[in-house]
Order: sequence, then structure tokens, then C-alpha cells
Amino acid sequence: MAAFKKRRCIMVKVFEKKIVWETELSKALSKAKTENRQVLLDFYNPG
Amino acid sequence: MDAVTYPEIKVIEFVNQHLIPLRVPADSKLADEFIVRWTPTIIILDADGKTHHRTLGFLSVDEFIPSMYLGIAKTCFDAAQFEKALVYIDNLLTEYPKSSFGPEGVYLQGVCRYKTTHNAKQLREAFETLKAKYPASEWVKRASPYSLL
Repeated sequence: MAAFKKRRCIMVKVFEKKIVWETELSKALSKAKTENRQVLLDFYNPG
Repeated sequence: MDAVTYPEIKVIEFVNQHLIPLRVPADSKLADEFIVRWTPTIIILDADGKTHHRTLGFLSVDEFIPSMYLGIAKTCFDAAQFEKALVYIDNLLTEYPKSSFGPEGVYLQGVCRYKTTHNAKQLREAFETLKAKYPASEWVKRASPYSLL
């Protein structure tokens, strides 16, 4: 159990160390409404 | 942005704390809807999808975060939440006084203060601050009528 918790903690830390981007406007707006935040919309060059 | 700004821990923490990040390719239908013709284009939207702040071109960490502060403040300002806007402007000016977004922040701060107090002195003070701290900024000219108040 302790090992599982430790592993989960490490996974959470790794997860937190990057921006987790939404990819759909509707989902982002819904989250923005729920969490009372603004949406950062970044348009990138797909290459 | 991918190589320099977005991997920075300060940026990650800021975005996770304050914003809902959404990433879309510039050749998408959404890019057409937002009239995006070049990247990076970064836009701050409210929860109804309305645009309140937009930048074009690369932003370093020390420009990205103040730009986000300003964008959030502008969203609050447009919603007539002047006290809330002042909190974000204060963060911008305290944490990043040398940012290129500082002058607009000072201007908006003066307007928000005026809106909350109805005291024209706040606008004149914004002009004086701009003249003293950012003399080369276009925002000095934009605030120049307030010197007469």
C-alpha cells in the first residue's frame, strides 16, 4: 500500500510538471465556467 | 514557446493555478473563427468564449506571465469586476515591473481605481506614474488627457 502511495505521489508530481492542455473549446469553456477561470487559448504551428 | 516558455516550472504552476489551457493547431477551423494567421497567437477567453486579450509572437517567461496577469485583469475589467482586476494588475506590477505589459497595467490600474472611487485623481496619478516609470511607452500618450484633471 505504501509503495503504491509513493508511486502515485511520484506520478502526480510528474503529471504536475507540464501543462495539461485541453484540445476542445467546449470542454475548456465548461471547465472555465465550473472553476471560475479564464481560458488560455494557444494556437500552435502543427508543422 | 514549447522549447522555452511552456516547460518552465513557473509557467506550469501559473497556468495550472489560474487558467484552463487549450491548445489548437493553427490550421484548424477554430483558428479561422478566431482569424489566426500566424503563430504563436495566444488569446485569453472568458467562460463564454469571448476574447479579452490577444498576443502575437514569442513571449519569454518574464513576458508570458505578466501577459496572462493582464489578460485575466482585462477579463475582470470587461465584466466590471474592478476590484478583482486590481488584484491581478497589482500582481503584474509587483512581480514584473519591467515587463512590456507594465504600462498597460498602470493605465488599467488607474481606470479601475477611478471606477471604484469616482475620483479623477486616480487617472492623473496613472498618467504621472506612466510618465515617470515608462516614459517611452505609448500609454503615456494615451493617458495624457488625464494630466489636465
